[in-house]
Amino acid sequence: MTKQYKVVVIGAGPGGISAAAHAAELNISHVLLEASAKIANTIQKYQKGKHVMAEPSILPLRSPIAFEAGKREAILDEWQQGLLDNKVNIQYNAAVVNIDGEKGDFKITLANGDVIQAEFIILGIGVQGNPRKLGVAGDDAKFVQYTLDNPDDHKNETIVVVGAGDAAIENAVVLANNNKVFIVNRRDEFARAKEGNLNLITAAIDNGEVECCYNTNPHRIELTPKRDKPGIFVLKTASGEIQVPVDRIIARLGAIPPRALVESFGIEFPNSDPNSIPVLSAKYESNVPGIYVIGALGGYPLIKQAMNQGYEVVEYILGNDINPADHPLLESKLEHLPFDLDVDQTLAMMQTKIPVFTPLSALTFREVMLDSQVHVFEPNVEIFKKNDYTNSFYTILAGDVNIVIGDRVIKSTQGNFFGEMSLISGRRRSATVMSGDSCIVIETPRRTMIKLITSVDAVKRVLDETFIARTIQAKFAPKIPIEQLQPIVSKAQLNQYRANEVLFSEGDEANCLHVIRSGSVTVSKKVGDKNIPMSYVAANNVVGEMGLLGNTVRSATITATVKTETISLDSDSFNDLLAKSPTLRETMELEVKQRHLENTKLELESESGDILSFLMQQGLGEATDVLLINEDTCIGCDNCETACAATHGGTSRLNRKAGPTFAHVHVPTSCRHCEDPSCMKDCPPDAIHRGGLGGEVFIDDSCIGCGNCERNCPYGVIQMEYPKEKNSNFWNWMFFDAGEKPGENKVKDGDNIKKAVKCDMCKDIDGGAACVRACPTGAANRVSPENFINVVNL
Amino acid sequence: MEQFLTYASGRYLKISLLLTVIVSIIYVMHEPGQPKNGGTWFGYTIGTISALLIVWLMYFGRRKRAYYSTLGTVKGWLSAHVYLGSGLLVLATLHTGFQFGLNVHTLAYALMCIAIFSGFYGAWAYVYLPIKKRANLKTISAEEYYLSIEDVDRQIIKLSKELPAPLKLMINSAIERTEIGGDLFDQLSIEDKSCLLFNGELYANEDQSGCIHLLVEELAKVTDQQSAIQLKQLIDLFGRRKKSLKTLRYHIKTNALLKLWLYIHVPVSFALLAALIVHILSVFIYW
Repeated sequence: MTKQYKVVVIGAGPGGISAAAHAAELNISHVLLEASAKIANTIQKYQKGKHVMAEPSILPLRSPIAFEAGKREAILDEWQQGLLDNKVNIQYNAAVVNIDGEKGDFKITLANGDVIQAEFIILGIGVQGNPRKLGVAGDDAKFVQYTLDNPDDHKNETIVVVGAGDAAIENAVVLANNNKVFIVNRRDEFARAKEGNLNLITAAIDNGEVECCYNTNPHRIELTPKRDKPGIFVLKTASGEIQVPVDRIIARLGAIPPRALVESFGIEFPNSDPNSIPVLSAKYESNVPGIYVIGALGGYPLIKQAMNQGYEVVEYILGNDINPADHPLLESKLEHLPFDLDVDQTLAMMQTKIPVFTPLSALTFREVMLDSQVHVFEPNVEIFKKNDYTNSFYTILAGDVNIVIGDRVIKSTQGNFFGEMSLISGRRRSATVMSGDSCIVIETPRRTMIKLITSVDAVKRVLDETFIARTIQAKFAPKIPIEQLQPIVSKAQLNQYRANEVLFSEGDEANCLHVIRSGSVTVSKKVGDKNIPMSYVAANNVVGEMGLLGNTVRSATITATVKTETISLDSDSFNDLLAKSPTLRETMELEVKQRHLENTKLELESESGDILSFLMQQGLGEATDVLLINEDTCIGCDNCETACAATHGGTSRLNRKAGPTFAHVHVPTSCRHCEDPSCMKDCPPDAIHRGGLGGEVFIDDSCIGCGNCERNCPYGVIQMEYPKEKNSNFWNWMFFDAGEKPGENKVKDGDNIKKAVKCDMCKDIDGGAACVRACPTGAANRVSPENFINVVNL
Repeated sequence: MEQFLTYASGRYLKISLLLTVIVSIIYVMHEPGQPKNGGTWFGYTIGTISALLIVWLMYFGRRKRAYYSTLGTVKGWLSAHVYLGSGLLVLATLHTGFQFGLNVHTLAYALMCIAIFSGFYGAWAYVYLPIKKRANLKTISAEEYYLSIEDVDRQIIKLSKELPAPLKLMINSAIERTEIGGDLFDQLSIEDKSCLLFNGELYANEDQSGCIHLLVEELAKVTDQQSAIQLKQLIDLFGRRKKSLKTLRYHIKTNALLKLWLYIHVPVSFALLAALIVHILSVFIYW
């Protein structure tokens, strides 16, 4: 018999349980479908005893299910209790495989073949996806599992771990302490694993603690209930089949992103970018009427937001037009504006007045505004200054602003935007902007804009076109109005290069020039049969103009150091520009002359070039400021580390000894403040920022200790640390041995969580970088890539 | 890049030179009408300057740890510490008027000299030892040497698994009984005390030579090609091990030298401070 409900909630995460509980509370017929055997899969996977935060703290909770910051176990228990108390109808192990029908009459098919009818569907399945199954005969056996909760639960078993990633390695190594462990790797090496895990597993295999089957695939699982091992795992190796009697099989094969499943329900994504989120209305409804999307899948990664949405979406389904829980926040954000409008009207007005925001759905724009600030400026106030390191994006809601480039002032009016250059390139501001008359601007943080660019194509297109036009104008034709440059702009191309990809090679025909939009490149020349790097060129500079001016072949090879984007102009366009602005040739020639001089500064010595390539190999091509140690003067006193710890709550953010060395240059493990920081990409509370003057990347107090940034940093410079006590007075320590040594603070007592810490370039300390100021011999120096040449040429 | 000796184009060297030259000229010129020593008006003056200088020089230990201080940089302070400390030698010597004896006054002077000369050694060490250290390590860091030894050990153990038991045990013991570092004397002497067990007896294994020797002997005996290749690989690996260990021993020694002198410089400075207080008090009490 087909069961019928008004509301079917899919996914028992925070959003799903909140929605189901609210439906239950209102006596609406409902069912909560959960694919696994437990609620809140993502939170279940957190380590034992992990402290879960309840950010953003200003946002009130609106749900029949309680939620406060606390230990993972306590929160899960409380939610379980909440489901019981509210008499929620929950069905476990009910994976949805298909949805048919329309609003009022949906048919939901489950993996076991059951069909459920629903009037409305709430989709809250998160973004983690379901674990990839073994996909062999017998993989539904009881002893096949896809997670490992507590390794201590298993002793004296024979366990086969399938997979070659970090999770598989970590499980295999820890289980090997008390069990006989095999690891099955489809390939002949562990190519996907982190360095540390690679060493662990190689050591374990060499010592015979773990037996590794390379080039091996799982074939089938046979049940052997009458023997002492419950099953036999049949594996296909290069040399034939082998049979392993097992107690347990643990498959760690990663997860299948839920996007394909969601798309099969008819829900559309704006583009193929893996980070894009479905288009939703202000009431969380997708393009399929009657299907609502909440939580991380809808772009809201925080628990409290998802729970509020679960409550709200049930209200919307009932036709109640309640204000979202974040309404008061927006209200306070907009109250100082001189418009006599309510929040929704103000937002709508903003979207009509500012073309770049017009294509956004109301919900997306609401989210943008939650992150943004609206400034009402008196005339002639500096909004940002040339060479500032800020990178937020500005749109003009009313009045005008004056953009000061050199001695010229350009007026920009209502509906326009500015600040996109730093937003895209991650480099310093290229102009100063002053407020004009009756000026109101919206300032949107970089993270929000980047999210918008990846999810709304129209925004990306407008920003790209404007970026190209403004770059060409600024670089080559400052006196010519943008309209006249349009034919050249439309011929310009946007190019993307991977790290180490060659833009052009020495000896090629010179047919275009590149303006580096983001990333950086090295210039190298052939000496003998070796390519010797000579210089480093950062974003916002031009390469390839030497060949065009001389109309000859390329005199050097240009290679991208990191992922790099350029705007290229062909020689016809460039000649057009030369004709349009008569002084251009002269200024360009001057620049070329300077480049030549600089190149000769770095003599073609093999060692200098080798050091430069070493620095690039360490990923310093994307650095904006990096700590380098001159090994020829470093006495190893570690005063730099102690200085860092003493000025940063007892935890040093740099590790002097660690990190690679080449010749006299040592790159200690310490933040290099990347141009486009990987750590910032996935911070749920948005706690990582880029600072004002020095461009420092820092983490603020709202860190929830999730560890995403630590995992995302390719250079291992972020640590998770407990907060520490303040240290006692120096003289008390010195004369009475009271307290700890400077920089060796005690860990704070009490129930604290580990939070992410990293170098903040001593932004709050007078005098700047403590590590550099504490170095007795001048070995420690902070260097920006433009000055690498000075380091190399000691 | 700028060194602590060349800090601000040798600003403190110039100040120190100027100070000592002026003081020396006055010392030669002035005629106190009594023997030239600490008791004349000029003697008191340079004595006071010297005493204050000693206190200030010792304050360097505090400044080095005052991580919030914006009063110059530690590099600048070290430069001043070295040059003004050197100047102190001249000032204090003139303050004695070359009158020495077996008393607390000369004790203070002697302690001061020890502190200053150990400081000279320290300055030399800070300039030259890092360069020597780097030349020894060649292009990579000490950490990388340790990692390479770990890697070599892993390969050795893997290869030795199929060898006859006595040889396998010998190789294991050679790895386990490799000595590096140790107490201060061991660190400085860089004597290799490694040893190995073979057929129940302990042999020296300096520079891994004992082990390599036994492996070579075995190589001469084997007849099948497979074992010969394996043994050659093992000998090669022990050769690499020896090289890395030698580099690290020298590295450890240099690091010890960089710290060692401070164990003289600092305690002697405190002793000097105590002797100085006694010297000043006794001068005033027995005047």
